[in-house]
Parts: sequence; structure tokens; C-alpha cells
Amino acid sequence: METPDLASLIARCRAGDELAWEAFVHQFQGRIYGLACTYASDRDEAADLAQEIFVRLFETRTRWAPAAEFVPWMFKVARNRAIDDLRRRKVRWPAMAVPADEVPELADPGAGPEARAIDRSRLERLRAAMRRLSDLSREVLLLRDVQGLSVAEVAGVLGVPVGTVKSRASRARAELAEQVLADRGRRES
Amino acid sequence: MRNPDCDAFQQTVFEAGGDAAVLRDRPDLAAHHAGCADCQRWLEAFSRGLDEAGRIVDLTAGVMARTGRAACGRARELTAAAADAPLTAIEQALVDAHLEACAECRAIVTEMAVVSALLPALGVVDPGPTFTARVLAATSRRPAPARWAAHWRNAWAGLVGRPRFAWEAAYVATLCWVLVLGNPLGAWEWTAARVEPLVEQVGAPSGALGVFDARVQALRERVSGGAADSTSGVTGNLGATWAAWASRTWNALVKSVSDGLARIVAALESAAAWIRQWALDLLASVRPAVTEPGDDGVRSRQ
Repeated sequence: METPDLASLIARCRAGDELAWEAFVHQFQGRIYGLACTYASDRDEAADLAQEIFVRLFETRTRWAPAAEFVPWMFKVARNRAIDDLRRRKVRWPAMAVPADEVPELADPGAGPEARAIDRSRLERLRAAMRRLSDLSREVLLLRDVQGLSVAEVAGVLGVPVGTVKSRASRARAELAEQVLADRGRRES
Repeated sequence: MRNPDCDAFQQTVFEAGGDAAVLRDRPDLAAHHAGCADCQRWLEAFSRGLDEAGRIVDLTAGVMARTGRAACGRARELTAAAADAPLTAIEQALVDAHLEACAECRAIVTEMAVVSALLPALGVVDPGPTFTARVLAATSRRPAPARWAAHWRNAWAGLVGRPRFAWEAAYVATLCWVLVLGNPLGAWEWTAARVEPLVEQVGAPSGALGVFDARVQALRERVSGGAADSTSGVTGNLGATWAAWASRTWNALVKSVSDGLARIVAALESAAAWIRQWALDLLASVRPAVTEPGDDGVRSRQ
């Protein structure tokens, strides 16, 4: 199935085209749900949060950012909604303690041999290690390395200087690797 | 900023020549060592640089252990930063030289590469086959957003929803009261004394309500007068057919406008009468409290 280009999709959604909205949800649900998984405590909560993020996007669709700036803008809306949700539930992020068997599957197991080779326990351990990072380091890593935004875009989403994003990202990467390595050492010993 | 506990630990162990036996004698140091990954790494590096007799066997490890472990942190930081911007030639050379000598950092850098390859897999997660339908059901129940209506609705909700809105409303109400009737915090007598002459002058041109009343009357006269002479300039300048049509249209328009204005004027007159009556009632209610020293009783208002 051919994916419509983002600019056309946004223009049609802004004009109220229901089919375009459906295609939009289909196109971005994996990324939004992936983001929600890092803020929620279980899969049901993540699904509820992802749905609320889409509802919020639907309500504001006449004010969507242009295609070139859309993805960072969408993540900003999603992050604000997720933080509102955490405040409403009066829990401190990260609330997630997902058991290994509840770690979501990869979106596209047929994407390639590398993706197939990644087992769920490694992803779960990686998530667990990310939860031990500080809030800002975790969000920087989430937006920069997980969602693939540029440094400037991450700075815009989080409202922090570019230099802070760079230093936090490099520190968080090293810290994450150290934690994963330490976890492996503990398991093996 | 360095942790003072780490400084104390490293100083004590350094003075003991790296002998781990010191940890058995000092439970506080042992507890710190058990909970501090930095000091565990420091002790490991320090021990690597010494032989059993405490002599330096690896000069680099020994020197770095005694002068701080900043090099490892810097090497890891630079390696991690290379994902955002390539290192300069000298930075790359320094990192390579460090990695060649430091097995621990080599392991971290290798793990960093593995983690970087894994992280994007956390970004896209399948929410299940029913998720799209669920979102569409949730959004189809909502009306399409109206740009300006939503904007004003949100702006009004934001204005009213602020905690200080009640204070602002009270402030505006108080201000209106002061402007119309005078100081609301003063005695009723004072307010009544100010209002009484005002109301008594309603019929006179100099009174505030009198001025308001006169303006309403003037507006009424202008409205009725405008309707009467508005058609003369139009009908004389147009051809017969178009002139008749234009005249009818113009008359209808003027009549509609004048009717509307007349209704507004009537409403204003009604408002003026209501205000006048309300003020008189207010004065009547506070009349017993208004007295003047030296008078023989209650002051007359009539």
C-alpha cells in the first residue's frame, strides 16, 4: 500500500477529510503508541493515552504545523498530553513497570533479519535501563535516538538549549550502556 | 561535583596502598564501596596499576588512578557525542588511544553501539489490530473543529477558568459602583448624600440621568427625522424604473433601520427609567439614616 506524502495528508486532514484522518492514524499509531508506552504503566494505559493523544490531535487539526515541522510538533503535543496524564494520575514518571511478557512486539517483525533477531527480553532490559535515567536524559534519548528527531527539534520539543540536548544525549548514551553492561554482569555472575 | 564520600574512600584506600583489607576494618568504607559504581571502578583501576607489593606495574593505569578517572568519562562522553557531530581528528586520536589502553571503556563503547542499534526498535510499537478503529470511533463522536469558534470558546474558557477571575469581576463591579454612585466603602449617609441631588436633577439638563435622557430623546428625533427626508435625494437622480425600485428598496431599508433604532432607543429609555426608579427606591430605603446636625429631625428629601 502506498503511503500518502505527509504534506498532502496534513492538508486533507486540516480540510476535514475523514479518509485522510484514518490514514494519518494508521501511519502514526506505532510511533504515538511507542511514545505512550514510555509514559504509561501498562499496555491498557498506554493504549488509552495514545488514543487521547490522537483525540487531542484531531481537536486541533485546523492548527496543525506545516509538514516540515509536523513530526516534532506532534511529539510536543503528545508529550504535553502524556505529562498532563501523569499529573492527573499523580504519579511520578516513570510509572512503567512492564513485565517481560507485556513488552510490546516490534511493529513490523518482517522488517528484516535484524529486527527479527531482537528478542523481547533485550528490549525489556533496555526499557528498564532507560527508566533508571534522569527524566531529562530519558526524554532526550527518547526523542533523539528512539524517535530520531534532530538535536534542534529535540531542543524545541523540550524547551531547552541545543547544548543541553547534546550534553544530555551523550551522557545518557554512556550511562545507558554502562547500566546494560552492569545488568548483564549481574545476570552472568 | 565530586561526592565527598568518594573522596574519603579513595584517599583512605590510596593511603592504605590499595590494600582491600582496609575495607574489612572500615565497614563504612565497605558500605560505600558496595553502593558506589564509581569507587568500584576506581579501586579496580587502582589495583590494576599495582602489584601485590604495591609497586606500580602499569604506569598509565597507576597515574590515572591516582590523578582521577576523568579520562574514562571524557572518552565515553566523546564517543557518545560522535552520534550527533563527528569528532575532530585530535579528539578521535585521543579517544582511540584511550580505548586501546582501557578495556572497560572498550566494553562500554561496544555496548553503546549495540544499544544505539536497539533504541529505534522502541520507537514504533504495534498497538494491536483494533487500535485504529478505536481512535476513529472516539474522534467520530466529536464535531469537526471550527477554527474561530473554537478559538473564542477556548479563550473564554481560559479567561473564566483562571483562579483570579472572581477577583477581577469583583474589581470591575466595584469600579462601576464607584464611578456611578461613589465610594462603596463609605457610610450609606455619604453615598445617599451624593446620589440624592443626582436623582433630584433627573429632569434637569445638568443631571447625569437628565443628560442621558436628553441624548436618548435627541437620538429618537434624529431617527424619525432621518427616515422622513432620506428618500428625496435618491429618487430625483435615477431613471424612472430603477428610481422606483431603488426608492422602494431604500425606503424599506431605512424603515428597517429606523425601526431597529427606535427599538434600541425605547430600550434605552426603559433602562433610564429603571435606573431612575432604582435610585429613588434606594434613597427611600436609606432615608431614616440621613441626618444633619442642628436640624430638627430627619432631613427632607422632597
